[in-house]
Amino acid sequence: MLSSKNLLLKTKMTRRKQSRKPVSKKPNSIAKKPKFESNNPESVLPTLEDDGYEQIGEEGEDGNFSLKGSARSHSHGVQPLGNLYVSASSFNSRNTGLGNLQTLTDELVLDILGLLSGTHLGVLSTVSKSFYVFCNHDPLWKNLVLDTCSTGFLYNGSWKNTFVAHYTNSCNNIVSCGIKVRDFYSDYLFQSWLCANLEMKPEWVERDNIVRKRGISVDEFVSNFEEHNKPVLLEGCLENWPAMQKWDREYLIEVCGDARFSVGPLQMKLEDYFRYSDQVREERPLYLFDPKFAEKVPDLGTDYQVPKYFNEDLFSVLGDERPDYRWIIIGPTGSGSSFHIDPNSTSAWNAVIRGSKKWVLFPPDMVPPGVFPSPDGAEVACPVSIIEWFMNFYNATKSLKKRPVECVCKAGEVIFVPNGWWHLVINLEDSVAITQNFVSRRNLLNVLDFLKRPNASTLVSGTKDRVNLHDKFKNAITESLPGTLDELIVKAEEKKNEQKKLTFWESVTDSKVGAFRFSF
Amino acid sequence: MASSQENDVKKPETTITLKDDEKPETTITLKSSDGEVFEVPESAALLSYTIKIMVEDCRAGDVISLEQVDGKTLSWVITYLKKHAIDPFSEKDKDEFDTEFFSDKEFTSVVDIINAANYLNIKELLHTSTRKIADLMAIRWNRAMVGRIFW
Repeated sequence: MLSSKNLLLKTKMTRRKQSRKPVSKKPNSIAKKPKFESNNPESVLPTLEDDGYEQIGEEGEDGNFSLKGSARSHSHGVQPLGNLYVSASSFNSRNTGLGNLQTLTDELVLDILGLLSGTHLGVLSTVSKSFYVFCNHDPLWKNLVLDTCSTGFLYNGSWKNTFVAHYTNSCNNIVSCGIKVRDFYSDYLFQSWLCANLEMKPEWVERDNIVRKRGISVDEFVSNFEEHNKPVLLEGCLENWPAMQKWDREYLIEVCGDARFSVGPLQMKLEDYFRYSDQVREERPLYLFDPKFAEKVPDLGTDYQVPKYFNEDLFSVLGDERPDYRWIIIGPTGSGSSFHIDPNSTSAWNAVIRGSKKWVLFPPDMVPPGVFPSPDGAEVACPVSIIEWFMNFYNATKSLKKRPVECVCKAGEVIFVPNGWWHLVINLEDSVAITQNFVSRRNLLNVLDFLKRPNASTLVSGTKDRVNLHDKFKNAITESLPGTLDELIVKAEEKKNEQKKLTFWESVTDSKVGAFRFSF
Repeated sequence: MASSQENDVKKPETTITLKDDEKPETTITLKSSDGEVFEVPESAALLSYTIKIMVEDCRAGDVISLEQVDGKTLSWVITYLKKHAIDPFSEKDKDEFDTEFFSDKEFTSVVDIINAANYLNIKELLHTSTRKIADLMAIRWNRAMVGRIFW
């Protein structure tokens, strides 16, 4: 029987580099909208029954899943393993069809298939029903496309069709319905399909406890939020951005022309990317994430300006040698980023121009449930898809003493993500946003410390010169802003001593101990 | 001990100093699912992340029980680990050894090795053995042939 507990057993953990902004994907939502509209997040969450789903049944308070409006039952009829125990037939065609490979786990079988070329994968899919199902696992074909189509791709309904069309240079739309296979039970393959077709549950979206401010001064922002390293959602900062009026799909396609943007490992034209994002339905949709958008299309750079709160941008002393610092993010519903900490110990702001994003943030000293960073912080193991994290770990946050900061950031709003904070983001609808990372005097010392670390060559990101960045930056700061560094070091020492005193006093008087506190 | 006649001659102290590479290395005892016991040099055994964690959790001299690996497969894995633990081990030598290592193994044995490498969390062995199976599939992609090797 399908329940969230069953799926818990099969959460696939994936390792990703902590130092790079991860490319992450999420299932798409209902009807594809050709234009960006600022929708209510609630409007993208219908609940629909699905034929192929009914046989599975639901259990427990978490057993209710809403599938996407146009979701069909698994295209090959894969059912979760639990169903095997209550089915009339007592055999699993997955095993009989794999022959000597049946003792391997699903992940291992897919690892092996992932080493094959497209031709071999295609031929292998004709060997047995079981191989048919495995070889048609679309993520396999996605990797083949990403490995072979360096100049971009024209998405054709599924990754397999895309690959075949590219391979045969065919422009025809190949419609592949898929054959349903009976008696095939596999938790891994079923979960993959489920995550690709699941809607965000209302209870995952509705909690919104971030502090919201409108029209505050820069000083207020610095003293109430930045200095305390507290996140905040700022309203009304984007009202004079030309982007807010201009950036609809037609305008963007026209102004970007043939420019190519980073999508995963590839560089793609914006129009081709929209073709993909309109059609795609998968666990982890690719999103467009480009650090040179303003250089590639200067008009985009002039359509926005940095909100006044974030004008202090100390990496600018490095001029052209500064690490990547600003990105345009375009992605369909379900795309986003699973838990990570921004690189180089920088802080960030993220402004939504179209669409809306759900954020979950944990302070630096709290590792989110379901997330396992390596000791040196270079790698983070976490669930494959963001939906999977919500399915399996969101509820665990309810029993934590300190609950995470959550919000939905809508078009026209900006969120401030303080340095060191864990954060997860998911697009609730097709979204366009701009984000910048920055260093101000408040986190300058943290950044220098981070860049000084012995494993800087793996952790530092956004630049080709990882090892020397610390020295370059320090020298540039000392030159451009003499005395600043020393001032800050003195201040930090004073603060440390204050805190030591405070701690002692507080321990004597039995009051709350701890320098860092946040409240909602 | 100097006798009275040898008072003037000091006997040299008899101490034995071992050179570094002659020092006996700690061994770890591994037991397979079917009860076979193996003594493995520590450097080799710790290439398996699973064994490394288990060792940290138990006392010296404890036997590490590997319930998911049978004796035959475990002995192969140990041969692999011992060879790969040699330092230095050039890429060329590694490739040569790996090719030879798999050349006499049947299909089903390679599958067992994959399962063992996965359980024992030995990245390199997992990578090489999955590669081997994939190569077998690629070489024999004729449908009839594929059917024959899988069943």
